[in-house]
Order: sequence, then C-alpha cells, then structure tokens
Amino acid sequence: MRLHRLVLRHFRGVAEREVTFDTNGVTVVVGDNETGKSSLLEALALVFELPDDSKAAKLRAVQPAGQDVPTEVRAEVSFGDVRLHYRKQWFRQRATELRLEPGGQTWTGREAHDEAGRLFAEHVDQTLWAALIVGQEHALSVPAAGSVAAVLTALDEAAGGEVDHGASVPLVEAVEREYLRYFTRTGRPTGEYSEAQARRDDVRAQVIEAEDRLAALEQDIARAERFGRDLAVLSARLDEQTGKAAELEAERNAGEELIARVDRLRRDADLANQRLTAERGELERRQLLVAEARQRADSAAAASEAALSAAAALRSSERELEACTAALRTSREAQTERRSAVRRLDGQLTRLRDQADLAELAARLVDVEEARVQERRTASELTRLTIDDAAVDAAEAAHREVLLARAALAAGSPSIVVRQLGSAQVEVGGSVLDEAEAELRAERDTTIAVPGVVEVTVRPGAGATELAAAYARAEHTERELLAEFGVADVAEVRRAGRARAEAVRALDTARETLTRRLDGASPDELVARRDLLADRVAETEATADSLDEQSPLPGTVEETRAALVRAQEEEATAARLLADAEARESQHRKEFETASGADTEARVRAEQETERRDDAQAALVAARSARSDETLAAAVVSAEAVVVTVVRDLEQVEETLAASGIEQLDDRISEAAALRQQLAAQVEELHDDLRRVEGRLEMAGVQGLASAVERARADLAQVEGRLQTLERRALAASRLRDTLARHRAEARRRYAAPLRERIDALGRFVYGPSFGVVLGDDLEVRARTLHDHQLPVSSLSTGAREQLATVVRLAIAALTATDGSGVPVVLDDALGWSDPGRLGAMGSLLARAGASSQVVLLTCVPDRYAGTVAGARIIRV
Amino acid sequence: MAATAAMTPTAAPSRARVTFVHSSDWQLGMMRRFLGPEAQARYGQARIDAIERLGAVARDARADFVVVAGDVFDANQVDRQVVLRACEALRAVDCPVLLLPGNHDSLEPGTVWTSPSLAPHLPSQVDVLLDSRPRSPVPGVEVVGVPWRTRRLLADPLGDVSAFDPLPPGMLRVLVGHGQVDSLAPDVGDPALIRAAPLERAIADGRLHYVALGDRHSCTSVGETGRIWYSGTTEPTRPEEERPGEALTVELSAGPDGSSCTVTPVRVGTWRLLSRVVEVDGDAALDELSAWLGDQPDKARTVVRLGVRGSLSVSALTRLEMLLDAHEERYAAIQRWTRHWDVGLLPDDAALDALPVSGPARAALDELRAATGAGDSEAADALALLHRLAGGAA
Repeated sequence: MRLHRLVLRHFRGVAEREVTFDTNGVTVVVGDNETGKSSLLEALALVFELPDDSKAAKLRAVQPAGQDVPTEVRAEVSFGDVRLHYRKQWFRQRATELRLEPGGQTWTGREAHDEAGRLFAEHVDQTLWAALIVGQEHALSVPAAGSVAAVLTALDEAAGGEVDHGASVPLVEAVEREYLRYFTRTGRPTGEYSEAQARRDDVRAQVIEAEDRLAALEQDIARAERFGRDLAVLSARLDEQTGKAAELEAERNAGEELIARVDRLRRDADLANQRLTAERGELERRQLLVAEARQRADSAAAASEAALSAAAALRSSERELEACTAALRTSREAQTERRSAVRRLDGQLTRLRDQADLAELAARLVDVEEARVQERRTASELTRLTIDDAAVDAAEAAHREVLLARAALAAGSPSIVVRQLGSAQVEVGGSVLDEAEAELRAERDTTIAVPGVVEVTVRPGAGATELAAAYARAEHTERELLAEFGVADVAEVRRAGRARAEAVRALDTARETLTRRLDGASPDELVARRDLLADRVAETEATADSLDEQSPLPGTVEETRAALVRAQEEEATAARLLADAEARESQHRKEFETASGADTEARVRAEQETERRDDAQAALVAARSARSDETLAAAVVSAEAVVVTVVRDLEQVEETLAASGIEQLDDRISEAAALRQQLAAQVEELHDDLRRVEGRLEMAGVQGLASAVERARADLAQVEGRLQTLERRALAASRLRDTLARHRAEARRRYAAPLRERIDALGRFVYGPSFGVVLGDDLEVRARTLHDHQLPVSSLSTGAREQLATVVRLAIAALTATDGSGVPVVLDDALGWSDPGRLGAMGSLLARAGASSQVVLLTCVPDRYAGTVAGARIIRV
Repeated sequence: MAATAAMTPTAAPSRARVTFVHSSDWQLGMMRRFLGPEAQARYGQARIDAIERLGAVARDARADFVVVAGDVFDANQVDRQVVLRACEALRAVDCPVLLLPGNHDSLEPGTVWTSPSLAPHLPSQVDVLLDSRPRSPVPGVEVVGVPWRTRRLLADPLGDVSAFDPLPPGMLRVLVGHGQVDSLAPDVGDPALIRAAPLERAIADGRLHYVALGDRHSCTSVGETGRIWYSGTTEPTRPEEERPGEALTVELSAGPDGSSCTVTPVRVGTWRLLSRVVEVDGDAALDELSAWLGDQPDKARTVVRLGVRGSLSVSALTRLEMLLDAHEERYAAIQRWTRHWDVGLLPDDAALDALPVSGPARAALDELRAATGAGDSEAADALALLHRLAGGAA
C-alpha cells in the first residue's frame, strides 16, 4: 500500500488540512503539538473502518467540539497498481465516494464503503499495519515479528519454504479461538464443554436419585403384595377361630344359670358365716370382760396385802439399823483407848532403851581413854629406842666382815709349831711359851726366841700383810659403827634391836585396842552421841514423870516390851471388832433403803390395781345391761344352725355344677378367645402395615416416580449425546492446536536466523559491529547484545528501546517491501529519547529504508529529522 | 385391510351382532431417549391425542364400545398430569370404554387404577376391568377381561378363564387379555405365556368369539382363527415395530346360519419411527440421502435412526454434518445409530491439498492426514476442523 494524499476537514481541532506524501522515500511532517499530525493516522484508520452513518464513540470523539459541521476525510492510496480516491463525510451530509484508477469505476454510499473495506482487507495485512503504522503511544513497544503474517511469509520465502501468504497467522488465531471455546489456557474444560460435563454429572445424579426413589417404591410394592397375601391367610384363620369361639360360648350360656345359683349360695354361706363369726366374737368378748373383772379384783387384794407386809418389813429394818449404829460407836471408842495405851508403852520402851545406851556409851568412853593413854606411852618409849632392825643388820654385817678378814688372815699366815723340848724358856713373840707345843700363825713378823739361845723371826709374806691390813680396816669399821650406836659390841646392838622390836609390838597392841574400842567412830563422835542421848533421856524422863500419874509404867525394857506386845494385841482385837460393826451397819442401812423402796412401790401398785378393778367392774355392768350373757349364748347357737343349713345347700348345687363339666368349657373358651385375639391382633397389625405401605404408595403414585426416572434417563441420553459431540469437537480443537503449535515452533526456529541477521545488520549500522539480538519463540526480540553485554529488552533504556523498536520495524518493512503487500512505515513523534549521535545513525537508517519503502515521520521537532534523514521531504503543517 | 373368519352355524335361534374397536398399549407417559425435550412433549401429547382419534374411529364405525387390552399407562407411577389428561381425552369417546390393566399398569399395590389421581376423574362411560366379572356394555355381548394383578405373572394370565361355559344362544363373548402368546414368543420357557390352543378350542366351540390381546406393539393376527388379534400400540415406540399406530374395528355376528368376524385395521398413529442405513462414498450418495431425508413427510413427527457407512472427503464430511444438522431441526429426531455409524475421512482428499495453508500449518495438516489414514478418528476431526478454519470450501 502506498499513501499519496490525505485531506481532513473538521477533524478534531483541524479545520482543514491536506498532506501529500512521497510515494517512495521519506516524508517528514512537522507541526507543533495539537496541529493534527496524529489525526492523520487516525483519519486514515477511520475512513476504512467506519461507515458514514456510524454512531461509534470513537467517531463522535473526532467531531469538533460544539460545532455542528460535517467531518470529512479524503484519502488517496494505491494498492499495487490500483489507485483509490476515497472520500467520506460523517455527521452531516453523510456521503461516501470511491473511485478507482485506472478504470474509473465508482461506488457511492455503503457500497463504496464495503468495496473500499474489501480492497483494504485484500491488500493490507492487518498485522503488518499494526506493526508498522505506529502511534505515539506504541513507539516503545518492540513488535513481535512472529505475529506478523507478512513477515512470516517473507521469512518463509527467505528460508526457501513454500509461500504461506501469511495465512497461518489467522489460522493460528482461529485455532486458538476454537480451542478456547472448549478449554482454558491451562487446558481445563471451560464454557459449553465444561457446562455439558457438569450438566451430564447433574443429570446422572438425578437419574440415580430418581432410580433410587423408584426402587424404594418397588420394594414397597413387593412388601404390600406380601402383606396382602399374609393378610388373606390370617383373615381366613381368624374367621375360623371366631366361629369356634361362638360355638363354645353358646354351650356355656346353658351352664350360666347353674353358676349363678352357686354364686348366690356362696354369697349366702358367706353371709351366714360372717354372722356366726360376729356372734361368736361378741360372746368371746363378754367372757373376756367377766374374766378380767375377776382377775382385777384378785390383783387389787394381793397388792394391798403386799403393801402392808412391805410397811412392816420397813419398820423392823429401821430398828436393826439403829442397834447397829450404836454398836459401831462403842467399838470405835474401845479401839481409840487401846491405841493410846500402845503409844504410851512404846514411848516408855524408847526411853528405857535410851538410858541403857547412855550408860554403855559412858563405859566405852572410859575404855577408849585408857587405850589412848597406853598408846601414847608406848609411842614415847619407842622414840627412845633408836636401834632398829637396819642398824642391827649394819652392825652384824660389819662384825661379819671382821670375822671374815680374820679368818682370811689366819689362813694366809705361816703356821708355826713350837714345841718345847727342854725347859728353856722359850719366848714366842716376846711372851713365854707355857705349853709344850704351840701352833701359831705368823701373821706378822713373829719372833721365837729362846732367850739367850736363839731367836727366830718368822716373817709372813706380802699377802699376809695385806690380809692383815684388811682385817684392821674391818675392825675399824666395826668400831666406828658401834661407837655411833653408843654400844660396846655387837651383842649389845643385838639386845637394843630386840628391845625396839618389843616396843613396836606394844604400840601396835595399844593402837589395836583403841581402834577396837572406838569401833569405827571417832572419840568426838562418841562424845557427841553421848551428849545427845543424855539430852533425850533427860527430856523423856521429864515427860514420863508427868504421865506416871495415870498408871504405873513398867520399869524395865523387858517388862515394857511385854506390856507393849500385850497392848498391841488388844488394839488389833479392838480394830477387828470395829470393822465388823461397820460392815454390819452398812448392810443394815442397805436393807433399810431397799425396804423403803419396796414399801413405796407396793403402795402405788395397790392404788392402781384398785382403780383398774373398779373400771373393769363398771364395764361389765354396762355390757350386761345392754345384752345379758344368756342372750348372747342363744344368738351364737342360732347362727350356727343357719350356717350348717346354707353350706349343705351349697355343696349340693356345686356337685351338680361339677357334674355339668362347665369348668373345662371355660378353659376351652378362654383358650379359643386368646387364640382369636392373637389372630385378630396379627391381622390388625398386618392391616396397619399394609395400610401404611399403601398410604406411602398412594402418595408416591401422585409423584410420578416412574415418569421421573424416564424423564431423567431421557435427559441423560440427550445430555450425553450433546457432551459427546462437544467432546469430539474439543478434542479435535485440542489436537489441532497441539499439532499446529508443534509445527509452528519448529518453523520459527527455522525463521529466526534470517530475521535476526536482518535486524543485526540494521542495528550494527547504529551501534557498531558488536550489536546483536536474541529472538524468542514468537520471533520477538528477547534481548540485545552490545559489546558482549546482553540485556533483556525490558532492561533497556527508553531511548535504546525506542531505537530497537524502530530497527525491528524497519527490518520488517524491508522484509515485506519486496512484494506489493507492504505498508508504509509511519512513526509518530519517534526517537524523541535518542541522543544526537544515535539520532544521526537512525536518520541514515530511515533514509535507507526510504529507498525501498514509503516512510512517513510525524514530529513536532523540526530539526529532529531535517538534518539526519538524507533526501527527506519536509512538510510543515 | 380386513380379515373375515366364517364359522359353522351354531344353535342360536336369533342373530347377535356387535361392532367394537380394539386397541391396546397406549403406554401413556412413555418417554424416549432419542427425543429432545420439545419433541418428547409432542410425542407424549400425540399418545394422548390418539385416544381422541380412537374415539373418532369408533364414531365412524358406529362401534358399540371400545376395549383397550392392557398397558394403558406406561407405569403405575406416571405423572399425575398424564393421568388427568388421559381422563380428559377419554371424555371424547362417546361409547363405553373398557380398560384392562396390563403388566405395565398392573393392579399391584399402589396401582394407578385405584389411585385418587385417576378413579374420581374417569368419565362415566369408562369401565376399568379390575376383575374378570363379565360385562355387558351392550345387550347380547359379554366382555370378560383378565387384568394383571401384579407386574410379573408366573402362569398363563388367561389360564383360569379359558374354560368358558357354553353361551346362551344369541350371545357373543369377547375376551380381553394381555401378554405374549406362546406361538409368537421367542422364549417358550416363559411361564406367563398365553396358551393359544385353549382359546382356539373355545372359539371353535362357539364359546368365545373374539380375543382382544395387548402387549405386542405390532398389529398382529394370532393363529388361523382370525379371531385372536393384537391391535398394536396407537403410536410407535420403537423402530423395530411392524405396523404400529393402528386400531382394529371388529364386527362380530352370530346366528343360526353361522358366525362371522370382520377385523379392519384403522390407522390412528401420527408418528413414525424409521430405521435407515446408507452407504456413502461421495457426493452422489449424499445427494441421495439428502433427497430421502427431504422427501419424508411430516418430519416433525418422524424419528430416523440413521446409520452411515463409508469414507468421505473433508468437504463431503462437512456436508454430511451440515445436512444432518439441518435435518435434526426439522425432524423430531435423527438418531445416530452407533452400531451402524462408521463414516471416515478420505486422507487423500484433493481439497486438503488445495487449502491455502503453507509452512508449519501445512506440516501440521500432513501429520494429521497421515494419522487419519491410520484410522485415528480424532485426527480426522482435527483435520476437518483445520479444513474449516483455514477457509476450505464447505
């Protein structure tokens, strides 16, 4: 399609505007805002779309506000070789005119509109129109080439495929529409199809419900039939049983009279027996009354007697109690007396014992004193005798040393035997020898001399000397010791020692004596005890003196003791007597109290009995005054006679009845009645059941359940038929859609390459060699690559996006310009966001595009394209 | 058509003569699955209207009475509306009408015959044969009906009454029964079959003059006597029925010179249920089918059970569909006879080649064609749809 001329009159704010376009190359329409540039696009669309009598809202929008003027659009376009002169006037003087050249065919009115529309539809691909003729508001959207039929055709040609003529796009849309009649986009049944499914389910449920109800009804019918059969059987049996019962009943009526007589006689017998019982009771009560009166009188007499004897017993008991009380008093006094005698004698005995103790203690004190004197004397003697056993032992020891030393010396000295042979004197050691023979010991130098004759000196050896010295030392020690003791020799020492031992023994004896006499007590204690005793004796004697006046007390202990024993025995005797008297007294007191109680009771009882006797006698008198004893007895006799008569009659009638066998009849009647009743109940029950079911059936009959089932089934058949048809259609649509989609996706993959190359080639013109695009399934630009950097379209800047959209449009235009089906590229106020550098490059692109396509640029910025699009024709409006 | 049976003279001194109408199987309240709601209603009404037409037949034939041999109602539990309309329609019959309960409307508990919807509304000249007591709708004739007391019988329904006493001279006896006759029954083991032999004996003896039967919807004469008949239903109920929609006018006479019976079928039905199976191979066959469908009279009361066999091009298939679509509106119903419906798509159809589709759409078309050739019916449908959407000629 080529656009040659557009004339607008009274279109929006435009009073009149005519624009002529270059058939090839670029036409730039420059005008300020609101001068009607965009109206050109709008007018071009409306002139083909709406007839002159249209009332469409978007048409009314273009009528100048507040002016009642016709709106006119004239368009001159060519479709291939055919040029259209097309004029349309709306609102007033409505008119449509179409003239074709060459040929000069003309149409007017509706025919003109239709023919123009037909030509437009035939030659202009709507999808391409939408992609390339772009209002301001769509400048930024990058078209998806996959939805442009012409592009697909072109690409198909480029790809070497068969010519599609763009038919697949409307086909795809049609298939999609068909599919969406039956399915949602997610593949769920929808619309008519899902309604039919739902309806089928509903109706099927209705069928089931209706069938269920009918089935229940048919069960009721079967039940009613069964009840009816059972009822017939049971009714027959009931009738039979009723007849049987009636027969038995008739039999029984005959026996009825007899039974009535028995009943009457039984009642009579009962009455006679009752009367007899009553009369007998009366008589019995009278007898009881008489007996009671008698018994009461006896009781009253006995009670009076008992009261008298109880009073007598009380009096004697009282006397005895008094005697006992007096005896008790006497016994108590005697015992008191005895006790005081015992106490006196006891005191006397104590005093006498104290006196004796005192005398004994004084004697003992004398003995003690004596022993103490003896002791003191012996002790003083002992102090004089100093040589004790130790001293004796020492002296003995020293003497023994002497003896030992002397013996040793004698043994150690030479023994000299001197025998006088003549009478010459012989001196030995200076002493004349007087014996014929002497043997001596030369303990020291011993000289044996005959005077004048000879002298011989015998000298002992050195050992003898020493022994002699030791002997001297021992003698010396003994001497010194004796001197110390003041005695002459050892014998004396021994004597002194014996004297001392004697003295020690005497002291021991004296001390022993003292100790024995003290007998554990100290002398001071003994003195104190004696003083105490002396005081007590003095005291008691004073007391005793005062008592002696009463009776003489025995003087000795023995006498006193004997007297005391006697007095104590007497006292014990008196105490026993006292206890006896007390016991007796208490017993009598109890007896007295008992007697007193008995007396009171007997008296009260006597009074009561008397009263009762009076009552009983009064009652008896009253009864007798009503009916005498004789009358009563006679009444009993007559009642007995009546009973006997009636019972005899009854027995006779009963015998007759038993003979009649009516008892068994009764059983049979009641049995028959029970059976009949049972049957009747069953029949009744069955009847009720039947009636109930029949009632239900009657009600159900009105509801037309069978018709309901029939209707529901017929509905279901219809609905199922309808669903089947729809299902077939739905499945066919689904199948077709799937198949088509699969093949289209395949094809697009094939188409992507040439389209991308075309877009890349144009884009590189603006952005340089690194530019590239990525295409999606619908051949839409998904992403832009620049300097190896890939950005999704949505992330591009406004300017870049607009440039990309323009590039894609130009690519589409170039692809579709090769045959006559192309449409002009119209850009309204595009590239407003582009920088001057890019704008320049874009201008070059537009200029190149103008070489093969008609390009129309609408702008309000005069120099946006003026300097950038080479060879552009500028029109100012 | 008329059937006349002549009999040997009986001892009757005077001549008895009677004319009556024999009908049966009204099946009032019946519904058919192949009918849409609108046709259903008309069909139901037609069965009611048949009563009035029957009344007209009786009037024309100067009939003395009408007997209906069972299955007056399709079920005991029919809609009250059906019952009341039937009562209303019966008013239009001005001679006595004897209605017999059959197996569909048996005297089981809850039966329609004693229900308060029916009993008080029956016109006075209508007598329901609730028992086998002989009726005399006109003097000289004795009508004995044998109603079904339950919907399933276990014995010959006429077994108890087939031993008839001899008639006094000048009397005619008509037996009204319902059920299958043994000579026509496919299942001879059925205990509830009507034994024809005793009836035929009674007819031969002159104890019985006519047996009016119901249950079979086709108008049929039973046996050789010419006096045992099924009248058939008044309006067809299934395509298989032979001669439905008829009533019988029966003229009986008996006299010293013999006895005669003339039975004349009269059409009362207005509906037709047809079965047709056609073989299709191209437009010629479709032309023929179209002509046949177009030629049928009274389409609004006609049901066609249609079977189509063969393979068609896409356009022919579309034509078939459109043809049926159009006629479905005209006819009461065109029922696709599933058992005889086998129509496929010719995959090598030149119309598909000529479709203006190319590229991927063409590839999709080829794939579906291949699948159709392999017998994929869904693919055939899809192909037909593609044909239509791609603007193929209808």
